[in-house]
Amino acid sequence: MILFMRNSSVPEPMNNASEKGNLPIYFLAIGVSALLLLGLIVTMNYTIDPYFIHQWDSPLLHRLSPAQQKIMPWAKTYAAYRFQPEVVYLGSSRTEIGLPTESPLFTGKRVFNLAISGASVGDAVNMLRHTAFFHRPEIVVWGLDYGWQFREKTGNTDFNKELVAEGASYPIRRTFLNIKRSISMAMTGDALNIVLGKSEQSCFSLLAYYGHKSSQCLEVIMRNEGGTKKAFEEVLKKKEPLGTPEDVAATIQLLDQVTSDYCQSGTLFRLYLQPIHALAELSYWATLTDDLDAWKRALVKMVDARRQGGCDIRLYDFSGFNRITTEEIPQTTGNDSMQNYWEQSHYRSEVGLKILEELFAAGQEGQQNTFGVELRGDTIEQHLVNFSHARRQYRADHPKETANILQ
Amino acid sequence: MVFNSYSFIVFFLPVTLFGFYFFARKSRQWAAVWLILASLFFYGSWDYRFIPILLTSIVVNYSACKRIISATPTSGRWWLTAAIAFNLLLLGFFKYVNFFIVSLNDVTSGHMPLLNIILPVGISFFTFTQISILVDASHGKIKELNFTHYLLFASYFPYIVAGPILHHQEMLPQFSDSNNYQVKSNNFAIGISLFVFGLGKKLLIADNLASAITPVFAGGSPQFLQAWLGMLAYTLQLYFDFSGYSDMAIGVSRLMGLRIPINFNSPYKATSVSDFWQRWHISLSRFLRNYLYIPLGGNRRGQLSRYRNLILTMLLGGLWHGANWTFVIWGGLHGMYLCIQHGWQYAMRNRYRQPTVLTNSINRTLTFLAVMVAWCFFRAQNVTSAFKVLAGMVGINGISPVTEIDFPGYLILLAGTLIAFYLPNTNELFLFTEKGHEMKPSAPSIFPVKWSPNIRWGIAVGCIFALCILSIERTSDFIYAQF
Repeated sequence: MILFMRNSSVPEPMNNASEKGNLPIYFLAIGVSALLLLGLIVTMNYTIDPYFIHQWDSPLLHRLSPAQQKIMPWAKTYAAYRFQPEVVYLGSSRTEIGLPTESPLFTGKRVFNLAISGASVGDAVNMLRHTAFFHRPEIVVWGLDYGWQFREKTGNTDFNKELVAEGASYPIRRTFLNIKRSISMAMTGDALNIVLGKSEQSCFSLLAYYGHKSSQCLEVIMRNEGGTKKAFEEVLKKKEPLGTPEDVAATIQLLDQVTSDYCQSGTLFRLYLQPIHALAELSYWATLTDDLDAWKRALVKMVDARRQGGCDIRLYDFSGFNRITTEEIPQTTGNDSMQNYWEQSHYRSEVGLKILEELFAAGQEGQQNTFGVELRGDTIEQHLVNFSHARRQYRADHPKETANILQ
Repeated sequence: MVFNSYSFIVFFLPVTLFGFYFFARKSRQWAAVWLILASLFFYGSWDYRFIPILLTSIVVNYSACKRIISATPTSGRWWLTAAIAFNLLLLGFFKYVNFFIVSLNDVTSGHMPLLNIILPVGISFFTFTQISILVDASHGKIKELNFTHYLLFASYFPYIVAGPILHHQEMLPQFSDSNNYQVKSNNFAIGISLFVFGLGKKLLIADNLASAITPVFAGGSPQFLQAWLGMLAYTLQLYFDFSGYSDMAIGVSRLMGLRIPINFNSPYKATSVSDFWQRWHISLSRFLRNYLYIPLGGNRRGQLSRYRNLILTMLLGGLWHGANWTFVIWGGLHGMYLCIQHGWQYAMRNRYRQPTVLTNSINRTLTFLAVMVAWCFFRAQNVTSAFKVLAGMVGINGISPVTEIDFPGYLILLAGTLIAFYLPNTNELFLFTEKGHEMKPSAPSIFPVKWSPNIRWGIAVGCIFALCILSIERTSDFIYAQF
């Protein structure tokens, strides 16, 4: 028992008998109205499906969508589950935009671009595990770039781990997740905009191009963002150097493990370093050249070890200062657009097709005019020397453009 | 786990309620133990490493309290001093030690490394809640203490993350009252309604104002309109976020038949800064008044001593919020406002006139502006950033009419302003109408809405709940949870 000097007075609520009599109706009204409103909205969102989270082979894929499409990991994981591709592309937005699925190299095969914007290596691994759960891919093309992407953690915040297939109950679980995802105010706004005809209608969904972001969408995005020239203005400005990425060793280990797992069951891997524009390469990694070289050596070591273990795996470097990446920028040419780039770090599909050709023409006779370099234990050191020399040469040839970039 | 999450609404709350009333049918003690376990689970869901810290604090304070109750006045004072020192050391270590190191490094140009400390959620709330019981025990206001009830009082999940700061005189008698262990439909009606309204304040208003605020405090130099709208948005966001939390805490508690003190009474309707502090974070104001301002001497030793005590109390009140000079300046500003107000009232004591509608409006506007300016320091990452925003508010950074707020953003800003200034608050709606309630309405409302548990209100509450559920896509923390 507790004794106090004084007790607080506790009010007696709602003594009115008629109000007490209303309570069951009050509770019923709360429950029924909440359920009805939620039910209506969720049904509308699920049926209209503004983000294509459960569409494949569906007429809805022919609906024009906004150029910036939302929560693509949802759409792509669902499409992978239904389409079960034999050739998959993994990576970040550079791969999503750059690598088209319509390549003569893969005629007759089911090809899907499973790269997602902002993806980390951890995301790409999850995407591979997800698609392999339904059908083990025969070929994996994997775009890598140094920097923040090289993390185990989720980079794309919309790529919920729940989306990754695990166990036979995935179809049921996925349906439940799709319904749960439809309980969303943002999705309700977008679904209503479609119903009212107010939604932006710029291009077809990425799913219509098997996961590849079409040039139709990119044209609109670049127009909205102010164009290629404006994008390069940012690169030319003076900036603080980027910090050293944290999880480099751990992610290489992860990459090693996942390639090893799938190699053993016959999957062929082609890894490539993304060809961002030379100015972006300089601007991003100007103070981290030694770290970048160490990263490439570590990748080579991993790939060589896997190949010696019997894997069909190769690594190519398309980055640096080659004929594609050193294209003159709009500030120099006076043109509004570029032949190879949308902006400093996203290359066009034409470049992507060349990358695919070089990745799969390796070892064939008569290769000429290549812009990528295969990285192997016996070539890496010479490559790094050449890379460094080309970097210095580019600076010397472009003093104006590189004036604000740290040495 | 936060109140505005599926895991709380769909899992934790129903299970806790069911368990509480299930055990209450067998034994009040079992029900209290169940609630303690639920509270520890709730607290541990933030980080399990916080639980030993909370339990240590509770055990030490309970033991000290028992000693104080049974001790002679002299030894009681020693026990009180030791226990308060323990609490301040605990709070100081987790909350202020790195602030002290940074400040020392700044002054001495030293390079003392910072400690890797994670601030336990709600440490300021459970520490202050327990200090009040220690002080009251030393004043002979507590004669006996039950450990189970003390444990429940200090770890009680509705308050532990962001208050209100509980007072033992309000809570402990309720734990002993068998009436509170019975299912009562009127408690459910009020509890659910308050919870849903609080959830709505957080999810539908506060969270949607963030986009107007973030660019203003991003470190740049906001221009006139952007700075004003950003500050208005933050002023409203803080109110709806914190009072929303308090409404939910009161509502959840009410579902278990327990009443925790209200924390807000339409603060932006205040006509003076002292009036503001009787309406904003009421439980903290009460604590600071009873356990700091009055022990310092209050207004008993003349005007100058009063001003000193006001400034000291508000400076420490500011520091309670966080280890940053911005909070000290915020507290100092409020201390200064209070001194100016009391100085003015003292100077005009022979010329008092009954306030009119016009003088009330002027006073309300001036108070709101003063509070808004002080919030600038409360929100900013550092003093420089706060001055940049203030410079923007006086037009030094330019007067471009361009803002980053979209049309829905303006609508929410407008709705928030109307609700904060002109509608009755949730306590007035759901609690003040109860027979025996002591609080008075905040101010005459232009729209005198009155709640009763009928079908129309049921539909309104149900629809707000549905909209809230649609907005829980990504749970966001409460602003005051960081304090």
